Amino acid sequence: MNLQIRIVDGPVPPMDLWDVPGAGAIISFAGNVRPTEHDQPIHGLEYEAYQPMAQRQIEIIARELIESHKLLGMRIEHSVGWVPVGQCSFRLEIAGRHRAEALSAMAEFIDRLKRDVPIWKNSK
Amino acid sequence: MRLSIKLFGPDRRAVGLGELPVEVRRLPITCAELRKRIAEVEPRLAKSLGHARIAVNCDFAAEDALIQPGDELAIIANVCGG
Repeated sequence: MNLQIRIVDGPVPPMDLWDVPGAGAIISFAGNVRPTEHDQPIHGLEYEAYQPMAQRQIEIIARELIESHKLLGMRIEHSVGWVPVGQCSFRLEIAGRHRAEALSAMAEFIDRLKRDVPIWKNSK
Repeated sequence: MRLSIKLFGPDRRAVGLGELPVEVRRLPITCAELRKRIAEVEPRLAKSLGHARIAVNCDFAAEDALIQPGDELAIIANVCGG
Protein backbone atom coordinates (compact mmCIF):
# COMPACT_ATOMS: atom_id res chain seq x y z
CA MET A 1 0.00 0.00 0.00
CA ASN A 2 1.41 3.36 -1.03
CA LEU A 3 0.65 5.42 2.08
CA GLN A 4 2.80 8.21 3.48
CA ILE A 5 1.88 10.32 6.51
CA ARG A 6 4.01 13.15 7.83
CA ILE A 7 3.38 15.62 10.62
CA VAL A 8 5.82 18.47 10.09
CA ASP A 9 6.95 21.33 12.29
CA GLY A 10 5.97 24.60 10.58
CA PRO A 11 4.61 25.02 7.05
CA VAL A 12 4.23 22.00 4.80
CA PRO A 13 7.09 22.16 2.26
CA PRO A 14 6.46 22.47 -1.49
CA MET A 15 5.20 19.39 -3.26
CA ASP A 16 7.66 17.02 -4.88
CA LEU A 17 6.96 14.69 -7.78
CA TRP A 18 5.03 11.56 -6.82
CA ASP A 19 5.24 8.73 -9.27
CA VAL A 20 2.56 6.10 -8.75
CA PRO A 21 2.62 3.26 -11.28
CA GLY A 22 -0.79 2.64 -12.84
CA ALA A 23 -2.33 5.91 -11.66
CA GLY A 24 -4.57 7.66 -14.15
CA ALA A 25 -5.32 10.41 -11.66
CA ILE A 26 -3.13 12.00 -9.02
CA ILE A 27 -4.96 14.84 -7.36
CA SER A 28 -3.77 17.16 -4.64
CA PHE A 29 -5.35 19.54 -2.15
CA ALA A 30 -3.43 22.24 -0.31
CA GLY A 31 -4.91 23.94 2.73
CA ASN A 32 -3.36 27.37 3.18
CA VAL A 33 -3.69 29.75 6.12
CA ARG A 34 -6.17 32.51 5.31
CA PRO A 35 -5.39 36.15 6.19
CA THR A 36 -8.50 36.51 8.35
CA GLU A 37 -10.26 34.51 11.02
CA HIS A 38 -13.85 35.47 11.88
CA ASP A 39 -13.35 38.60 9.73
CA GLN A 40 -10.35 39.70 11.83
CA PRO A 41 -6.86 39.96 10.31
CA ILE A 42 -4.35 37.43 11.65
CA HIS A 43 -0.62 36.76 11.29
CA GLY A 44 -0.94 33.01 11.17
CA LEU A 45 -2.10 29.90 12.96
CA GLU A 46 -0.49 27.92 15.76
CA TYR A 47 -1.27 24.24 15.26
CA GLU A 48 -1.32 21.76 18.12
CA ALA A 49 -1.72 18.00 17.78
CA TYR A 50 -2.03 14.98 20.00
CA GLN A 51 0.59 13.54 17.74
CA PRO A 52 0.47 9.77 18.29
CA MET A 53 -3.32 9.79 18.06
CA ALA A 54 -3.36 12.17 15.08
CA GLN A 55 -0.93 9.91 13.23
CA ARG A 56 -3.00 6.86 14.13
CA GLN A 57 -6.36 8.38 13.19
CA ILE A 58 -5.02 9.70 9.88
CA GLU A 59 -3.73 6.24 9.09
CA ILE A 60 -7.06 4.60 9.98
CA ILE A 61 -8.98 7.01 7.74
CA ALA A 62 -6.48 6.67 4.89
CA ARG A 63 -6.45 2.87 4.99
CA GLU A 64 -10.25 2.72 5.05
CA LEU A 65 -10.53 5.06 2.06
CA ILE A 66 -7.80 3.32 0.07
CA GLU A 67 -9.69 0.08 0.60
CA SER A 68 -13.22 1.36 0.00
CA HIS A 69 -12.33 3.49 -3.06
CA LYS A 70 -9.75 1.06 -4.43
CA LEU A 71 -7.11 3.77 -4.52
CA LEU A 72 -3.47 3.30 -5.45
CA GLY A 73 -2.03 5.54 -2.79
CA MET A 74 -2.31 8.51 -0.50
CA ARG A 75 0.13 11.08 0.87
CA ILE A 76 -0.82 13.28 3.80
CA GLU A 77 1.19 16.08 5.39
CA HIS A 78 -0.05 18.27 8.24
CA SER A 79 1.65 21.02 10.20
CA VAL A 80 2.15 21.49 13.90
CA GLY A 81 3.53 24.71 15.32
CA TRP A 82 3.46 28.11 13.68
CA VAL A 83 2.25 28.57 10.10
CA PRO A 84 2.15 32.15 8.75
CA VAL A 85 -0.65 33.49 6.58
CA GLY A 86 -0.43 32.23 3.01
CA GLN A 87 1.61 29.15 3.88
CA CYS A 88 0.43 25.57 3.51
CA SER A 89 -0.59 23.72 6.66
CA PHE A 90 -2.16 20.62 5.12
CA ARG A 91 -1.62 18.74 1.88
CA LEU A 92 -3.43 15.67 0.68
CA GLU A 93 -2.50 13.77 -2.47
CA ILE A 94 -4.49 10.86 -3.74
CA ALA A 95 -3.63 8.49 -6.55
CA GLY A 96 -6.27 6.40 -8.27
CA ARG A 97 -6.77 4.57 -11.52
CA HIS A 98 -9.52 7.06 -12.43
CA ARG A 99 -10.43 10.55 -11.26
CA ALA A 100 -13.87 9.73 -9.86
CA GLU A 101 -12.72 7.58 -6.96
CA ALA A 102 -9.84 9.93 -6.16
CA LEU A 103 -12.07 13.02 -6.05
CA SER A 104 -14.68 11.25 -3.95
CA ALA A 105 -12.07 10.03 -1.48
CA MET A 106 -10.58 13.51 -1.18
CA ALA A 107 -13.82 15.11 0.00
CA GLU A 108 -14.44 12.27 2.43
CA PHE A 109 -10.91 12.38 3.84
CA ILE A 110 -11.07 16.11 4.55
CA ASP A 111 -14.47 15.79 6.22
CA ARG A 112 -13.18 13.03 8.47
CA LEU A 113 -9.93 14.86 9.21
CA LYS A 114 -11.89 17.81 10.50
CA ARG A 115 -14.08 15.56 12.64
CA ASP A 116 -11.81 12.79 13.93
CA VAL A 117 -8.16 13.84 13.91
CA PRO A 118 -6.96 15.52 17.13
CA ILE A 119 -5.43 18.69 15.71
CA TRP A 120 -6.26 22.19 16.91
CA LYS A 121 -5.40 25.63 15.65
CA ASN A 122 -5.22 28.97 17.39
CA SER A 123 -5.05 32.21 15.41
CA LYS A 124 -2.59 34.95 16.34
CA MET B 1 -5.79 6.05 42.29
CA ARG B 2 -4.59 9.00 40.27
CA LEU B 3 -5.31 9.23 36.55
CA SER B 4 -3.71 11.77 34.26
CA ILE B 5 -5.91 13.21 31.50
CA LYS B 6 -4.26 14.90 28.53
CA LEU B 7 -5.75 18.24 27.52
CA PHE B 8 -5.35 20.04 24.22
CA GLY B 9 -6.42 23.19 22.42
CA PRO B 10 -9.14 25.27 24.10
CA ASP B 11 -9.38 22.83 27.03
CA ARG B 12 -5.66 23.11 27.76
CA ARG B 13 -5.80 26.88 27.58
CA ALA B 14 -8.93 27.06 29.77
CA VAL B 15 -7.33 25.03 32.55
CA GLY B 16 -3.70 26.05 32.04
CA LEU B 17 -2.51 22.45 32.18
CA GLY B 18 -1.49 19.91 29.57
CA GLU B 19 -2.36 17.06 31.91
CA LEU B 20 -5.12 17.09 34.48
CA PRO B 21 -4.69 14.84 37.54
CA VAL B 22 -7.92 13.11 38.54
CA GLU B 23 -8.30 10.94 41.63
CA VAL B 24 -10.67 7.97 41.38
CA ARG B 25 -11.63 5.48 44.08
CA ARG B 26 -11.31 2.39 41.93
CA LEU B 27 -10.49 1.00 38.52
CA PRO B 28 -11.83 -0.03 36.14
CA ILE B 29 -14.37 2.71 35.61
CA THR B 30 -16.30 3.51 32.47
CA CYS B 31 -15.63 6.50 30.25
CA ALA B 32 -19.00 7.89 31.31
CA GLU B 33 -17.91 7.72 34.96
CA LEU B 34 -14.61 9.35 34.10
CA ARG B 35 -16.38 12.15 32.23
CA LYS B 36 -18.52 12.84 35.32
CA ARG B 37 -15.47 12.75 37.61
CA ILE B 38 -13.50 15.18 35.42
CA ALA B 39 -16.40 17.65 35.52
CA GLU B 40 -16.36 17.45 39.34
CA VAL B 41 -12.60 17.99 39.54
CA GLU B 42 -12.41 20.74 36.93
CA PRO B 43 -15.70 22.63 36.44
CA ARG B 44 -14.09 24.77 33.72
CA LEU B 45 -14.23 21.68 31.51
CA ALA B 46 -17.90 20.96 32.16
CA LYS B 47 -19.13 22.70 29.02
CA SER B 48 -16.52 21.09 26.80
CA LEU B 49 -17.23 17.67 28.31
CA GLY B 50 -20.80 17.96 27.08
CA HIS B 51 -19.64 17.26 23.54
CA ALA B 52 -16.04 16.03 23.97
CA ARG B 53 -14.96 12.49 23.23
CA ILE B 54 -12.70 10.48 25.51
CA ALA B 55 -9.67 8.88 23.91
CA VAL B 56 -8.19 5.76 25.44
CA ASN B 57 -4.80 4.68 24.13
CA CYS B 58 -5.15 6.93 21.05
CA ASP B 59 -8.59 5.61 20.01
CA PHE B 60 -11.99 7.15 20.61
CA ALA B 61 -13.74 5.15 23.32
CA ALA B 62 -17.42 4.37 23.83
CA GLU B 63 -19.10 5.63 26.97
CA ASP B 64 -19.30 2.10 28.40
CA ALA B 65 -15.66 1.28 27.63
CA LEU B 66 -13.64 0.38 30.71
CA ILE B 67 -10.57 2.32 31.75
CA GLN B 68 -7.79 0.15 33.10
CA PRO B 69 -4.64 1.05 35.04
CA GLY B 70 -1.97 2.38 32.71
CA ASP B 71 -4.34 3.52 29.97
CA GLU B 72 -3.39 6.76 28.20
CA LEU B 73 -6.36 9.12 28.49
CA ALA B 74 -7.25 12.34 26.69
CA ILE B 75 -10.19 14.66 26.18
CA ILE B 76 -10.76 15.38 22.51
CA ALA B 77 -13.01 18.36 21.77
CA ASN B 78 -13.37 20.97 19.07
CA VAL B 79 -10.77 19.53 16.71
CA CYS B 80 -10.13 21.73 13.69
CA GLY B 81 -7.30 20.39 11.58
CA GLY B 82 -6.78 21.10 7.93
